[in-house]
Amino acid sequence: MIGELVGTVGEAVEIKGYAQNYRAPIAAMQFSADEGDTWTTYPTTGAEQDRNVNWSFTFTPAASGHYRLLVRAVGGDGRITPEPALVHLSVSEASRAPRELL
Amino acid sequence: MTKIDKKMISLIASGTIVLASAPAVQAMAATDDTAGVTDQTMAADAATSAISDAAQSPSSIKNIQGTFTWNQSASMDNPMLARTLYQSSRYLCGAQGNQLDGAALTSATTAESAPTSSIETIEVKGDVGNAFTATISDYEKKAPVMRTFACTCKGNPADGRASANVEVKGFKLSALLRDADPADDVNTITFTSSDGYSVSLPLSYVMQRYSIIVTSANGEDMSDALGCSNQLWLGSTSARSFVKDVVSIELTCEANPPAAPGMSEDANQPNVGVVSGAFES
Repeated sequence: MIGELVGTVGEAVEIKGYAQNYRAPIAAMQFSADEGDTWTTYPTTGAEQDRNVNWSFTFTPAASGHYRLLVRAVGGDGRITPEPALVHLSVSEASRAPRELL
Repeated sequence: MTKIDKKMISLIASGTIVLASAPAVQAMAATDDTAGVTDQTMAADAATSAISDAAQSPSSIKNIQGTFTWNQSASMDNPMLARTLYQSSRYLCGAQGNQLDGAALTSATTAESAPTSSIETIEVKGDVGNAFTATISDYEKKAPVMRTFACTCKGNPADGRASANVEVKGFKLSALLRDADPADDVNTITFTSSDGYSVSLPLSYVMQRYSIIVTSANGEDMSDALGCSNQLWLGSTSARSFVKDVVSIELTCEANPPAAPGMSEDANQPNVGVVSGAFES
């Protein structure tokens, strides 16, 4: 687990990692920012079993708050990561220039 | 309306406080001018609880969208590989770490601390038609392999760091075994290290996988890269980097052949690790 990432609304955040599986190739990566209620799936078609999948996911928070991004992998045998990786993000409102405040 | 109620409503109206839960709102509404001190206290407690919940509850995004990329070609550099998989995790990785009886631990410790010496040959023996001494440089030419492999420590936890791709070079173990001409009933292969440590595996298990005697990692000799002269690497295996500094391979027929290295059902497989993250600025 990495430390909490701190940024502002409208600023893109890039997260990198790996997925590894002994039993079958990695078939997809999944991301959730609502405690696992919904998962967005990105296929990794053609991935080979004996190598890790190095992945990168970039998104831009549209609202301030504290986010918990969950990351998991799907194996070619249908098995899903039992314990997803977790990234904490703290997003604050973008600071405004003094002129904009007047 | 009490002073507490008025103050709380003022804070809510100003946006200073956002109530997150309906019960808290109901609790606030339940208090009026006729309510006693207990009710006021309950309302204040409920509001405080709601404020705390609001501060701690994570924000959420349904069906999060972003840009996703992936590859399998990027390798971890050797200094990082040595730190992540060979030094800090040495007792959790591979056969020299995961069978920790006292003797094995002593042997593994000795192997880790001994100066690396160049191993130029491997003795091939046992129930074979052709026992011989294989020269490593000959087999590097005869059956060369260069391939990117994942190297994962068996003890790597959920979201752990001890897993990485490495571009390894060496020779196919199958070529060496073919030249040895094992007897039909051979079912066990035993690898022995220069320090005397040995591990036995089912021959069928080794033959069904990508099995390589690795002599370089990411273009660097193993001795410089990872502090050993050579190393057995097995594909699709929970501890891919098995025996280091292999000096002999024995093929035998055993009444009770060793069990295949397994993977517990409750292991976090497939595993995912987050290694870095940053906002763009």
